[in-house]
Amino acid sequence: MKHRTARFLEERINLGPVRDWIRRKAVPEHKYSVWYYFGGLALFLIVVQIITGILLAFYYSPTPSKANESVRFIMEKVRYGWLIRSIHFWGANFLIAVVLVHMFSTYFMKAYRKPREVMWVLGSLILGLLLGFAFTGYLLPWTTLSYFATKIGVNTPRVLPLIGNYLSRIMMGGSDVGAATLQRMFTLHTVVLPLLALTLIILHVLLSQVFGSSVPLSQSNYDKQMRFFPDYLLRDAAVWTVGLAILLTFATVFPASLSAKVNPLQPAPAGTKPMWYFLFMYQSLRMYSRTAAIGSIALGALVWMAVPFLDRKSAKGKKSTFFTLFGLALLIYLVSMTVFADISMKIH
Amino acid sequence: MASTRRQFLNRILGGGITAIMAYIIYPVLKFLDPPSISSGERSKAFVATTEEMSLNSAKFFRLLDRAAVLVRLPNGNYKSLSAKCTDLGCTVSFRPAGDYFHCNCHGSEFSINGRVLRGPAARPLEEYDVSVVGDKIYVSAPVKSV
Repeated sequence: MKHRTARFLEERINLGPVRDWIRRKAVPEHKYSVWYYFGGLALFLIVVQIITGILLAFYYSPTPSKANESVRFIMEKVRYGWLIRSIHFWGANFLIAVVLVHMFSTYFMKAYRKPREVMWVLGSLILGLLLGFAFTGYLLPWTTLSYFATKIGVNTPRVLPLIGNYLSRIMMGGSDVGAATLQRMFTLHTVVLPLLALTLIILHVLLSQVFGSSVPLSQSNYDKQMRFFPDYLLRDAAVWTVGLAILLTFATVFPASLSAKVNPLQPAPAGTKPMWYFLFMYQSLRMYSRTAAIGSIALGALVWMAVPFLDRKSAKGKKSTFFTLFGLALLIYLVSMTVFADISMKIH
Repeated sequence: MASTRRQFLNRILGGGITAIMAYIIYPVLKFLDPPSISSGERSKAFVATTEEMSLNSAKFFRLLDRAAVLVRLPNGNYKSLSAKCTDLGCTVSFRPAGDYFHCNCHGSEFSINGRVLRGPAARPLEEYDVSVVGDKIYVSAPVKSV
């Protein structure tokens, strides 16, 4: 049967170049090779999110009167509904964590250097879109906490000159968070962001196939390589299996909960705070003036994306201590602000 | 240096494509911006009876689909305010012991009159009109947006 299918395809499409490419494809082997697995793991988690997201969309209803009830229905009545939602919830958290590890490992290995500049920019944009997924998805269960967290999120850009009010209005679909906001967040979460993200992910993966894995400058003397098929792919599959096992463990041992439906008359609950990946922004907004905090974060993100074009030394194959320190400083800032926000919330 | 015919045509083509893109994007951006409805009408709601409102008490209610609050001041007068914090829009809570409103999101505080006591909020709470007819207390506000 297999032979027949292969023959059928062979007679119609010339698969020779594809076979040659697979045979030739190799992955560099050195002491930092382990970091390569995070890219594949991120891709695997994206597939998990797409599948669980589609399943949830079969039952979810994006209206204020039904949103919370439909999620409750999924969790309490639909067979394995609690598990699918839990996997989607934890999958989002894991995905962002894995993408952050992938991004920082790429950064410190200077894998963004020529000719992979565009891959770096695409990767940064993908991270931005994933944070967009997290933000838009947070409101969908229509709980009091998600309602107020979204209020904070959509009102924050108001301080930006010229476009601030417009941005805030188009996210809310009105002058306050309500039915229009829920509809917009759902549309963004299930249509707009997936289309954008898939396009960028396909381009990112295609470029990674064109350029292959980057070898860190310190390891350029090692020319050991591993065949992609089947050696590296099998290892990748093993990492995905471990990832899935950890994800399932979290989803079953700590299932995603669902708090009470939005009551806008109720005061914002004490401890209203964003998810862990937005805590650094939250803490920055608390510590500095709104305009300064948002302006610095936006500028920081632009500089971060432009690093491959700014780091001329790496492009020439030289060590660039400044950019290593810059990355380290950013990492320390993100971690310390996140921890600080969490601790200060607990104290208050 | 004078541009060649090819460069000139490329510029015309680039400019044309940019203009077409702007022609498409502009209405899309305008479409996404929800229309503001200002009819000059007022929305009026019955909130409470005078018996329900003791001195220094507050009652939260919905007006124009937004959270609002009716307070009875220590001098016996009534006041109605938007319960939406002017910082980032969270609903404030009433602290009767201290005669003030507190926002749990970023810690802004407002006096019972709606004045800012503590930031980051910079503007006072929006005030609505209160009318007492018999023993019934009504609050009204202009319908100004979606």
